Amino acid sequence: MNATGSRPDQPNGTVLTADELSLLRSVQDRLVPGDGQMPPAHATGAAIAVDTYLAERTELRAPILGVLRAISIATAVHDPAHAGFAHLDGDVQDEILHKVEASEPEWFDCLLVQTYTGYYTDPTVQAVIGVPSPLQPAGYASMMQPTFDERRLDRVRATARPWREA
Amino acid sequence: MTDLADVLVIGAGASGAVVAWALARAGRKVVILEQGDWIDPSAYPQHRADWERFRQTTFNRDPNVRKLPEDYPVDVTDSPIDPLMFNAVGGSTIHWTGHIPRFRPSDFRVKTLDGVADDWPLDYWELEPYYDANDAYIGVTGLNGDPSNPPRTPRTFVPPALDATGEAYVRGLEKLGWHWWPSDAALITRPHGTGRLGCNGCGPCDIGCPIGAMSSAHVTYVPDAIRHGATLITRARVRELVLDDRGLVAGAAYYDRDGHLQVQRARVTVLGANGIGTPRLLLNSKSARFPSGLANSSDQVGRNFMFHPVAVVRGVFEEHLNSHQGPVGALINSQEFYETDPARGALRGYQLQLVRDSQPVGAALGRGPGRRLPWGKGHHEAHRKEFSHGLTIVVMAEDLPESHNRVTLSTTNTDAHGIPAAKLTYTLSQNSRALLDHGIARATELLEASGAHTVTHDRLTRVAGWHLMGTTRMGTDPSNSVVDRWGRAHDVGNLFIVDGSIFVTSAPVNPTTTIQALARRTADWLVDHFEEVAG
Repeated sequence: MNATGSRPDQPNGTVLTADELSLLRSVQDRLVPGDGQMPPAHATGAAIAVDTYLAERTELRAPILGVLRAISIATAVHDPAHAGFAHLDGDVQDEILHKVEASEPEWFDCLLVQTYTGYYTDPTVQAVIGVPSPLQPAGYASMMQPTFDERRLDRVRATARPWREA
Repeated sequence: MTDLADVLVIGAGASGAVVAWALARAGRKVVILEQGDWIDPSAYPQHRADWERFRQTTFNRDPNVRKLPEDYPVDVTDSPIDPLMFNAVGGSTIHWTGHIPRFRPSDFRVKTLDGVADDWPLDYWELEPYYDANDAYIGVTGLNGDPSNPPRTPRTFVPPALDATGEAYVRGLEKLGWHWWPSDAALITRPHGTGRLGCNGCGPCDIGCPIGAMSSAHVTYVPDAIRHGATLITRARVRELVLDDRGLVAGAAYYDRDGHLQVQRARVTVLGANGIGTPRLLLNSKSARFPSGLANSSDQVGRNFMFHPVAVVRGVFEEHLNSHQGPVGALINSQEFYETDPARGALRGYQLQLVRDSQPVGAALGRGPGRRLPWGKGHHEAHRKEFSHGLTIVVMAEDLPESHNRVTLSTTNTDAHGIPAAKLTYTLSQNSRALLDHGIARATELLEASGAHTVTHDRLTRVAGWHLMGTTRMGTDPSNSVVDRWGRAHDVGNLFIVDGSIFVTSAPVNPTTTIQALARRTADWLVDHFEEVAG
């Protein structure tokens, strides 16, 4: 990751193997598919982001690796030909994910949290949404410029209950 | 062993920094021990595209999640609310929204007016000049003239005009005829002081302000205290306070950043370590003279712990509100339900803090498991409808002191130095529950009047224990209080406490400006009476 937080894509993760990273990308594309201007997860740094989180936060490894393993097993059960999750139809992929979500809700929730985090902190996604990337130094400076019109408070001044003397 | 200081201040947060500044300014030799470190302004997450992820890690508000070396764990297995704090120079004023409403006069007379809890041993008018002086010094944004509060001095800066978020709130408030007022905020909108820039509305004040626009202790009192000669020692974890033969505090034993045990001696010691850290330190300072903890002959240290119980109510609107833009907590405050009204079925009251809404990740995650936005084909449509379309109301109830709500020492957990951690035992009272229920209904009514098509709420928000109060309460009777009206320990004449621990009652408002006003008042008294009390 560079200093501004953007994530150049790379074939292997720090924690995840190439196969795990590939599976994660396919899974994330079902969690956050493309829609209009919004890119699919694989077109962002969401998978590499999750790998980065795993490197930094060891407590995430058990749930994330666990849910990827559960998805692999569910895929193998569903598809004895072992074509792999990425080669299944989208509807079938979703069916597998729903099953894993039901059987391993905490692990799946962890995957969802980290996927959403990786996706919505990607500069390309932020550009589409229209938020500054990063927030500083620009912020939303123009909204702080005009000053409050005190006439807006006339009704409150006239009707508010006074404080209690004590 | 280090040189003898006149004043040892433990904690460089909201309260300790005030005392350090005031005493150093008066020419006293001041040493501050802070278990955290300075945060380099360039290290704030807002400088990175992926800033929002740091809410889950190093800038999380919960020390039990953050788990940094400078943090200490708090056992919360017997509390429905998690205490929040930050350990660094500036303390929890790094992790705040800068919302600084004052107590009202009635808040100092709870027993007299409502027959519960206790009166404070001082009144609003005694504290008023210290509120004003604190506001003028740190720089605040707001408007005086609120008829629901006593008059106050002109604010440093006028708030910005209502944006779409503010207009949506005001639409409902005016329809209902309720009180509202632009929030008094510890925030500057133009450059002010040394190296501080005006707020540019980037949003997440609650993970620290990277440009010094929030009037936090580390950009106000701490640097000024150092300019006046105070010595700040960071990464100094205090093990215990040390007594001399007279039963006065001789100083503090602390672990330095290399883990070596040091002793800082001082003639007067001042604790500003928050409503959990301060009782924890006192309880860890056992001796033959004080076998149940220092300054604890009354058995009141750690008792009467108060949160501000919070219920978050959120409305979703068709219109795009840009509600992710602007300082998150500095917007509008409604005190329509502040004072006691027996018709509510509860004593005392609550405030409605009308704040801004989630950022992109926050919108996707919702408020916890089960509230995530759906994954799959409908995800983006759901995000478009949620992000920047929400308003969030914080219902903040006054909590009353109860002896069984308390901080004790954990028998199983320690911090990184092996010092027993704090354990929190807290039960939400029926009175607080009733206030929250009333507030949830009123906040829902307001959001619907503002035009929300969907309103949801948490009955009690777990990760909302920002305000830690009451655990070494002030009073005139040494048998049921820990400090006197100046924050001086009844049992130990050269020991003072200035953080939220000394609160007698909590009022339904954010406590920091009251903490700082009290700290200024104690500091003034200490300047005048130093030789009388110093060991």
